[in-house]
Amino acid sequence: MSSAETFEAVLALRPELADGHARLTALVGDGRVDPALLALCRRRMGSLLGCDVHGGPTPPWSELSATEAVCLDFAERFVLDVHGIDDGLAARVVDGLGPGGMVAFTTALAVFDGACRFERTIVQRAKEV
Amino acid sequence: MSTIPRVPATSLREAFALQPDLLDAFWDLYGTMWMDGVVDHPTKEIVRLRNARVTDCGYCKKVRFSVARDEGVDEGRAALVEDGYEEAGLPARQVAALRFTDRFLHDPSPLPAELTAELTSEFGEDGLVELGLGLAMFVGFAKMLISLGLEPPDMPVTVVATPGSRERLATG
Repeated sequence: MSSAETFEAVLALRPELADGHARLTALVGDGRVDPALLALCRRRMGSLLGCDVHGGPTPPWSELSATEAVCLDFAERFVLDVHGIDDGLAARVVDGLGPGGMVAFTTALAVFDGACRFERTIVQRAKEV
Repeated sequence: MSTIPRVPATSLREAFALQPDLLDAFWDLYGTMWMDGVVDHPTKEIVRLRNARVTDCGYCKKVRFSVARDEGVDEGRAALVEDGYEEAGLPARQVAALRFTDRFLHDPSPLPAELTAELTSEFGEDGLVELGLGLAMFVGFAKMLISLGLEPPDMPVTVVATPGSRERLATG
């Protein structure tokens, strides 16, 4: 692997997996959940996982809408302590997004969490070679 | 752990029915990773079970995939993914895969050169990518299941058809 690797370039070593992952990633970002909300959560998750590619600053809690705040709280716990997501927090996310939105939202978090870990362990390793 | 579903579903598959195209995309990718892979099924199953233990997913810990079962991952082998696996008598390639798993789950940071060399020697660069993507799916979707409250309150060890396979061994 060269020093110019990207997530896509590394995953392309298995083209059929790259295609499937790209399809799933595109679907979760197609607007069924507010893309800005997903971007917010992805930045926080990336930061928590030490992922420069996906991580970044997020606004203070006081500047977030109620839905943004509850979803960001959920996303943080998804990374740090998934068993710490209690029924009340989950219910507030469902209130904001609806049941189908909750499924799409958690699918997106699953994709982000895994992609950040892949980026950190394999892609970053390739960049350092 | 909550075993109270947070969406109208009793399983991850039922939950995905609320977003059927996501189910299709997930299942296609997961099935491809399992059935069209370059890494052997027992190694991937051992890695999946280590993730299940570390993530403490009540469903994932009880499920066994049929192809890996047929290829030797019986309950005795499955039990070896507990802490101390380095000394448990697993093949060296599976120990290396489990060390990668722990890095991925506990401390996602660039793999050290020695571990990278061992993994690529055993599995090749494409196999390392496959293991990484498999791990990404194992941890992400275990957490999805947990966060949706879909862990079963009590579940026996259950052998199911390996995703992507055509057989139907699901029981229980």
